[in-house]
Amino acid sequence: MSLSRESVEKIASLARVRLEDEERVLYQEQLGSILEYVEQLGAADTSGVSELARGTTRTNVMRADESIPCDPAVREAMIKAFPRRQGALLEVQAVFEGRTE
Amino acid sequence: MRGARLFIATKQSLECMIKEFFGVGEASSLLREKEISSRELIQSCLDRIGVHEEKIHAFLERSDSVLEEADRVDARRAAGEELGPLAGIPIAVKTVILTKGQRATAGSKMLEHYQATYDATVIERLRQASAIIVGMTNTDEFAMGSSTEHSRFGPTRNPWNTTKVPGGSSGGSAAAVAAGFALAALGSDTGGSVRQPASLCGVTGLKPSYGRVSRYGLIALVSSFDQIGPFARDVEGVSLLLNAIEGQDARDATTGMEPATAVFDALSNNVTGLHVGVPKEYFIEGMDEEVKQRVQEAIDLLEKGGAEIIEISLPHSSRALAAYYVILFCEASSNLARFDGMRYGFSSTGSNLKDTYELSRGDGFGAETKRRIMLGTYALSKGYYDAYYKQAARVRALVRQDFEEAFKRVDVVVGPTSPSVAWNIGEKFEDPIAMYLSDIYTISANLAGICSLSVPCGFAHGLPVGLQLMARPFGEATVLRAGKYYQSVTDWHKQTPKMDE
Repeated sequence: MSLSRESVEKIASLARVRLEDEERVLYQEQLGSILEYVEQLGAADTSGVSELARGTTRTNVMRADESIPCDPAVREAMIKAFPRRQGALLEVQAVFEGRTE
Repeated sequence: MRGARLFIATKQSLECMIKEFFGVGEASSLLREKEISSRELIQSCLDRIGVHEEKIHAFLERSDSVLEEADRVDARRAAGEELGPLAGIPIAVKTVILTKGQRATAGSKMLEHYQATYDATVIERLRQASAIIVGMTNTDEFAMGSSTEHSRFGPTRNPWNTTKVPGGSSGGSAAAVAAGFALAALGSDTGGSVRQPASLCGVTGLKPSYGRVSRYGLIALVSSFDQIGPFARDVEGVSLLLNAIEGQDARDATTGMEPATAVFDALSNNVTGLHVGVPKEYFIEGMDEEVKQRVQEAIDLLEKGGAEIIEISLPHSSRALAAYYVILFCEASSNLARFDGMRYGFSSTGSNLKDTYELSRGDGFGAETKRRIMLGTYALSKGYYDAYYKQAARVRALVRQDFEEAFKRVDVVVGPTSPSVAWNIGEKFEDPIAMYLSDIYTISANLAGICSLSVPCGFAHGLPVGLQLMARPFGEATVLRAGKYYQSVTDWHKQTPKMDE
């Protein structure tokens, strides 16, 4: 099974991944065959079975509602790791384009 | 007697002696008895790294303060301080576990220059135990792979044969222990990433039960599967590491108040009366004939030791791999959404925000990572969620139920760790499904949240084979007991690769 070029482009866009042309061709084939492999899941009889989404049966782990301050050295290291910044602020691109205020 | 023998060896040649270091426990007693120093121990590892690391490529980064740290441990010991079993022991750490002062690249260009800003809980605990962290080991990118070939910094090679893969994704950690670059290592196991490379490199590796070890500071891949686990030459070494890192941590709510693993009981060297289940579904076609023989011989030895061997059935095994991968794709695509080129890591600026996301992720992630993120995005998208994710989560429930049923009858489930020995570098690189199938025996333990140990059980085609022992959640003492017994009647774990030119 091979996915269409449009399908791979759609998935890549949803996943926020830019693909080169040759990658797109490769993924049409590879994603298609992996999906074909996992489609065997449909053959499993799961009627009446509830989904198991977690690795533990532990629920509602509570702790005191207290703020835990960040070690200043850790904070500084994190700020230093920002790709773009102004002072201690993280600089990002505009989410809403074309707005002036 | 043994101490005296090794003492003489110390005087002759440290390089020679480390080959006799079968375990952390043994090194630990020699340190305690001051027959060797931590500096000598570390230096012997550094010597081996100096000779062999260029061809093995186990490390992505090495600590430059190991000798000073060793001197500090030696000084404390000389001053009469009582130190724990890991004090002064060299340990390698997979690069997905944050270790302050070291880069945490996760094998990815995305985090190539990322410096860990804090210590993971397991690293804090190793430091409290005065262990010495020798460096950060190679992995498939973001721990996604079974061969360590998907590292953006080049593959690690198997110390037994450098044309072969070491397994993965914790291939660097497994190779480091096999090659004697460190006496023990930490890895992470999402679907076999500790056990499978342990098997392929001829060392011992444990995936603890889900909730046993804190993941705080582990770069997350699949939050409902991930566990940090130890590698060492033998079961004793793995047990000592487990004792150091396990237990509740307020920063990972999946960890709880379960008592620490009773390693002392586990190391009692007998399997009398232990009920050992052999799943009929595990000895299927596609499994290497010689691997099958080695595993059968190991089962026979357990029986000879007084264990009762019982055939069991895990009827949903054949669907487990597909369920595992669908859940992995979904959770990985969600976990890796944080790498957006904005807050940290690789960033490539485009003309608008979406462009920047796409360019940063397109360039920052490698091929396998992109494949899995896209598959997860697809499986979670509108119209496909029920057929893929929900169905996989139901199959997961059935797999866990299979084990719950089995553990009503048996204490341990035994089988192969990997269907084959180490394969050639490049052999499965372009064929994702062939690569995925190499995880067929390990993924079930992650789906079910149980614990699982791999111990060396001989050789096939001249390469190591691993025996897998699984037990119910928080049943680590049981698998360690079975593994320790097995190692008391065999010496596969004492074999070391030659690594000559």
